[in-house]
Amino acid sequence: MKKLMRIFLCLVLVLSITACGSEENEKNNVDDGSSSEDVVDNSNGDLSDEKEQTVTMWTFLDPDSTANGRNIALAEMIKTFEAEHQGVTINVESQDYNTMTAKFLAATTTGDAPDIIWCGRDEIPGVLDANALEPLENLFLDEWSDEEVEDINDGFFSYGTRDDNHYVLCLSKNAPVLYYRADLFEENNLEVPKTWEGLVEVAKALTGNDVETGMYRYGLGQSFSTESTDAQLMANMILDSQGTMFNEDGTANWATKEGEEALDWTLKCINEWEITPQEAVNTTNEDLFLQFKAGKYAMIIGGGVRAAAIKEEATFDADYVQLSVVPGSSEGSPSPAILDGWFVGVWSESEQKEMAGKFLEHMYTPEADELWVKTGGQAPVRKSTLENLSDHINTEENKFLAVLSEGFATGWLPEDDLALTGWMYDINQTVINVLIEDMSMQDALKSSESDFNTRNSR
Amino acid sequence: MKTNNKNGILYITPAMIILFSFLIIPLIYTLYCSLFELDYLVKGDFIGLENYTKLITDGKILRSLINTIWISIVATIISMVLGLCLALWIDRKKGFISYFIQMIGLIPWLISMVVAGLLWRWLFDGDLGLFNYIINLLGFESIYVIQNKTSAIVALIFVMSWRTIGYAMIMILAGLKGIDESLIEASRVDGATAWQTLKNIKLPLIKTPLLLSTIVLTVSNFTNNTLPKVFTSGGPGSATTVITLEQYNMSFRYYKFGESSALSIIIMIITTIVIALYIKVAKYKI
Repeated sequence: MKKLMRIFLCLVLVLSITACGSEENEKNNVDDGSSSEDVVDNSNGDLSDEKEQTVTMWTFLDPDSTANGRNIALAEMIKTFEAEHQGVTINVESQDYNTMTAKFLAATTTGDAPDIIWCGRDEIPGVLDANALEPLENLFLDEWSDEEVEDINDGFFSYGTRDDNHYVLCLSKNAPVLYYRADLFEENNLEVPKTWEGLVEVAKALTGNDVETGMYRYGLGQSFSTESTDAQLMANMILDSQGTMFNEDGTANWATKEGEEALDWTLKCINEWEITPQEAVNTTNEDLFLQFKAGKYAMIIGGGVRAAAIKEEATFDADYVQLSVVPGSSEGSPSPAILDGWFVGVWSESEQKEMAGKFLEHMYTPEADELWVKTGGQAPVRKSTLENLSDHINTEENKFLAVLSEGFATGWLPEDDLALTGWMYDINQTVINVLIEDMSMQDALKSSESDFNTRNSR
Repeated sequence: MKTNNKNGILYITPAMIILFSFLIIPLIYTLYCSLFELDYLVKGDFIGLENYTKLITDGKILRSLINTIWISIVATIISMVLGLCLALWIDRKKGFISYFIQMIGLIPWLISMVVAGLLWRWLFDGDLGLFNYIINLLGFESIYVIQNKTSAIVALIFVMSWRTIGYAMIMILAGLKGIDESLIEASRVDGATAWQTLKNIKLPLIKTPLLLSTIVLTVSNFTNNTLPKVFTSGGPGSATTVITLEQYNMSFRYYKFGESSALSIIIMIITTIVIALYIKVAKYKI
């Protein structure tokens, strides 16, 4: 019996090793193909004149998933690109967006970086300082006509420019906006707030027990955890009153009268008006979205790019999830949206630079932009798409896209010549400094300023 | 004899190559990186020990280090004590109950820490969590566990202990099962009480699994950044910010790779000292 068992186990072992080996071989064949110059045999048995190439892209999206529209849109683009370029494989390696850029930088030092990388706004200056990206003029931008460039020419396009060269294109424009529950506004005959005072009044009216669920609902959800990645209203308020968040030398400029007023307003939301819960000090933007979908808040501040996904997952009617630009100090002049987004570039040392550039360009074509909008639920990156899809965008279901586009038009992007690492976390930290560390408002602001300046060596 | 030595070297060579490639070389490289300014991995000036002095004089880092030390120690003590109690209890049981408790006890150790962290974060959610639902049903006011400095620390220690009790239990149980039954019987014949048997026979004989579990759990808790990151996000404020979370933020949020390399070396030195101290105190001979 023991002998039989041994033979059986040996067989299992041999089979497992063989199976793993063949899988590995197949994998290696694909990997080898990435640098292979061989001519590829296509499915018809004919020889294709295109070289077999694998372009690797790191993004937080996952084209194998159908969990949200952006994944589906990307998968569709890959399909059409691969069909147009026989022998080319787009290999998407999904990454955690928090660590993606750091991993990319590490990979550039070992020569293992992906051909295409998606980076967050604040990471771009550092990545450019590391000379990790190829000027897009070398790949395709030089061939674009003036009209084509004009179609995408805005603040996002100018971001990440060095010596008149563009290194990135923004593929996923974003800005923190006001999410609100339209049903609650209708029930209470309330107008969407346009001013800070109006916001407080509306939030007060919407704070209380929800009649249907019995759940205690807060008027305004905010997230001050230093893990939160979206700028909160305090940043908008400082920007609204000061016009900028930083001095010319890149140092923080928050410990000002305007900064103190913004902090005071934020603290009053929690302590005095009680429209934002105390637990906001340790709430992340992910918590905020989750809790909004569950009905805990009537309004929240969050990245507008998530709107389509939030609508899909809301526990109430998706049409009730609506977006508005962030209020301002006076009616008719909303505070500037703090523009954000995912910027995509090609690794400067990539062996597939040309093909990577082609795929990046492919993700930016008018057709692709329409796909990002219609399937992905993203705001358009092209002016022409905004016009062409006006019927689609101006429907009740999609009017959040119009709101986002409105925000983008008047928004603010930080300077890109100096790294401004961690400024949003530091702004949040001021609230925590007062509420948890018992600092005075001025000390809290100074402490955050000092943290920012020290970290960024200023 | 010489052939035996040659064979011995041959046998350990593959392991040594792997160890050298994946442990020693990265360690030396980390040490090298820690001596440079390395923002965004752009190699800057050689700055010697400046990264170390910066870290040692940084109040936030010191506070995080102190947080980490005492959170790790308390969580380890709780895990070991409860693990020992459970192991002693299960040691007396036989059959299905014994297997069932062991299985249940091991689940927290086996499941992903991200899943565990999120699970507890949702359970302790102020308004929507199960914890406060039960508290409210019992007629009490909601407790905002993760939003309060003190309760967040207690909750983190609780979750860390919850994760490791099963591991401690299994390791100690393995030690208990290895004790020669005749020794226990002899002590009974000699009239020893249960406490005396435990103190004079069982505990000395399970010293090795106790020590190993303590080392593993202390180091595991000390270097655990997943649970604090997912469960409490290091907050509120910096109440539950542990040293590895600082290290993570330095690398992946602020791209200060020189400083984070220096912090890695400091963490490695501390864990090495902890292990050496345990071995010294327990008079364990390697």
